[in-house]
Amino acid sequence: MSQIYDVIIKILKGYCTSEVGLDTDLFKCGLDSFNAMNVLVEIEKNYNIRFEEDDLDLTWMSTVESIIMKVKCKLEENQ
Amino acid sequence: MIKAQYDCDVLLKNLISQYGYYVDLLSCNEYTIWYLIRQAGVDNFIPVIGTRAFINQEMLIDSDIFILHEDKNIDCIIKNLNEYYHIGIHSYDDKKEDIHSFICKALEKNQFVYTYYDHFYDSLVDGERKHDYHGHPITGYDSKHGLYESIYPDIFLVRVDDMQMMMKHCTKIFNARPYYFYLDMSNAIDVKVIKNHVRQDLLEDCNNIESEWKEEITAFEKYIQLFPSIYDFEEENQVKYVLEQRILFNTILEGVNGNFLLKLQLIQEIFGINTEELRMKFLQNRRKSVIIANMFRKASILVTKDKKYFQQCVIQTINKISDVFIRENENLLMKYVALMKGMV
Repeated sequence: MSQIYDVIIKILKGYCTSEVGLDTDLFKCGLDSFNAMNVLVEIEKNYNIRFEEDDLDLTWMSTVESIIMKVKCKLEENQ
Repeated sequence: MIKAQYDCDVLLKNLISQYGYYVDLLSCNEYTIWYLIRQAGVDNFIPVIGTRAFINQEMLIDSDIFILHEDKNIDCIIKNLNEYYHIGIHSYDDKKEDIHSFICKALEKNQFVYTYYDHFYDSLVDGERKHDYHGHPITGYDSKHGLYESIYPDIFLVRVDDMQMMMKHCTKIFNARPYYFYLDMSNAIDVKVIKNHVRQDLLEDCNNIESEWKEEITAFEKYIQLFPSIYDFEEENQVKYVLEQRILFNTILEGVNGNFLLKLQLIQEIFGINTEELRMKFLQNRRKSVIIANMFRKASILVTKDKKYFQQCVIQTINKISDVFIRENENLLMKYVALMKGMV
């Protein structure tokens, strides 16, 4: 959990305008639908996973916690 | 303090989205007038008759064309208000008075004012400001603080001097139409009365819906057929092209389709046919535009990072458009045609 957390926080630093915690609303901290896709592509690359089209509604990108959950699900699917 | 009287719950009960202060699948250009209509006491959807509710090929080629149709739709709604209720409009004329007097006069007559907000001229906002336009109704004037109030709680409060600059700028850039007006109720008839010919007018409009809808499906078929072979483009043009398509599909989400949802509500009101399921399915279908817009955005990032993945992403996106706007769209049209049969 904490390893994924560190990676996600590191990626988000490039796109969020302030410090974020687990349940911070990322869309109120500078993240928008445009740069959220950069975050998504960076996550794909970091974990060698692919987000499918239905994942692109981006609702799961509202907090660090929900991103971690999504990444964990994708990693489990890949196993 | 001058304030137009309204009950927020009554005003918004069957109009706004469950997700916020907007009307699903309509831009602020179009839905702002509905706030004025509701505040004036018209609690049905009759003024939507005759508006364009579907996308055509021109719109898919140039997303700016949406604005032209939105303007035409506003004109159509204004015409309907006059036709069905003898409600007119007072448009702002800078040769006759200043914008502040105009707004105060409207509020004193207990009317909302259709205005355009521009983030660039909002001196209440901290930080960098950029031109970002938003149609919204002014509902009151707080003379103590020199602020116009909006229907939105705590946002779009506008200083008097800022509104002056917003109006001047917006009138200049949107010079095709007057975006500052309020409803003239001086000759209005009882807004609860539904004229006899509404039924016939709606039936005729229902036939237009069917032909517009077929036109929309054909437009998407052509869109896919004519989608260029962007893999041969220069990288810069690949990015530019897919980002333009992203804008198009974001525009569709706030395009003219919301008028169809309003028309379905009207069909339910006038003919007593339950249209809820079709409304829900149509809305679900159009919300997939967000996914398509995001797929194009993803493709734009992949152009320089991973060519193979970029190509896969573009192909998937085209398939998704086909799935949503042709296959699912045809099924929805068939459901609508079946529903229409119960209307006569």
